[in-house]
Amino acid sequence: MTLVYSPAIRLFPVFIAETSEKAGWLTPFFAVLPYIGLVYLIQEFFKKHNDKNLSDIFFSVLGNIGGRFVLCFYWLWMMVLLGLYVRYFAERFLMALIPNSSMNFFTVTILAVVFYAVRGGFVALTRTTEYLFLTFTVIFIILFVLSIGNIEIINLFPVTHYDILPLIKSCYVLLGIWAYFTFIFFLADKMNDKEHIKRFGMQGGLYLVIMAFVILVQTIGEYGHTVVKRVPLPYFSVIKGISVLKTIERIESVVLACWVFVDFVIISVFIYIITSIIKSFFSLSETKSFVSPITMFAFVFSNYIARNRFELENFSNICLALNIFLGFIVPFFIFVIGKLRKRI
Amino acid sequence: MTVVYFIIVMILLFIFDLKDLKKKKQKKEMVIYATMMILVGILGVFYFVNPERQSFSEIILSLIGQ
Repeated sequence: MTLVYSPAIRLFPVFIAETSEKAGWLTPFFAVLPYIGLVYLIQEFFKKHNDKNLSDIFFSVLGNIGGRFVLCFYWLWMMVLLGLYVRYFAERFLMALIPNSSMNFFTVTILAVVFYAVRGGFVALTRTTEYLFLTFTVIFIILFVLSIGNIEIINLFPVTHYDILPLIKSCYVLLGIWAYFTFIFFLADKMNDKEHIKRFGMQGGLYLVIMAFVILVQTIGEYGHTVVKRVPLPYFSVIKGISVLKTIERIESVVLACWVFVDFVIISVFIYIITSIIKSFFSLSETKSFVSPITMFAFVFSNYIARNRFELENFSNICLALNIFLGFIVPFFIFVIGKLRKRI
Repeated sequence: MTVVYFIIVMILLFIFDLKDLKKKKQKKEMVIYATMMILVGILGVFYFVNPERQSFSEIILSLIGQ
């Protein structure tokens, strides 16, 4: 859930305002249906393979060669996503706060911290994220409550049956991000309670729906869809507009602090996922040292991926399609093949 | 200048990690690690020598006709 916070704030309002306009705030209720299907699918994967991870499931279903072939795509794609998120981390500061500074300052800083944290161990990272997740949620709710006064109902209604098709189209961006649910199961060998994936997945789904709903209501409700689709970071603009008794203002620094930590978690988790995939791909015993080449790659690729923000945003649209393909469609085919071969 | 710093950091990490892997006698991991570091080094030098070259997203977008 922490993984989707940053891309949700960045992508959901702009894309959904453009596609669904006033009715955009209903999109999460449509997008949750394929997500529920995915949760059931993942539960089925681990019914007979409780001590394995997703890479092992691929090998079990597709064999050594087929499994490695599919794993190779996931490996390359996770590396691209890693570079993308490191780049977006830097771009956010350049867009929102300090436009004339060097991008490498931000990328080197975050990667140095991530490098140190990732080598410290997965358990430390997850425990820290567990505690801070509650803090984010509380801050998120407080910010929503403070912005309720600025929301105008006329920006959210009326909603008619003509909005159904645009709402289905705008599910694309939500599913493109919620597909990360599949990727975290490359770390399933480190997870307990895999027999309760359905329960935790549903609870997570409820949180994701509420979070997306809140972000969309805040942004589209305050500024209207015509403005939101043109503003680069509409959620940030909404938070900037919060004023408590005309005394407490400019609280966007709180959101930025949360955002920084969330990006730290995303980048760290992606590095763990990539090391897990490498470990399975090459049948290695230990992968702690591989954090170094992956971090160096992330630094180089975050520069190489795009020359400017416009290229980056155009590329992000393709990323959503590939996320849906690798997060929803490929697992579905693995499930079907697994059932036919009686491996799942 | 960035390429020089990049190469220095890579060499330092390479030595540090290789020592660790040698101590644990993990030959397979050493070979794969060295290959990955060399490939990343080549990518880094390739990019930093000319940062104004066509970017990765530009290549992909042109391949799909956008």
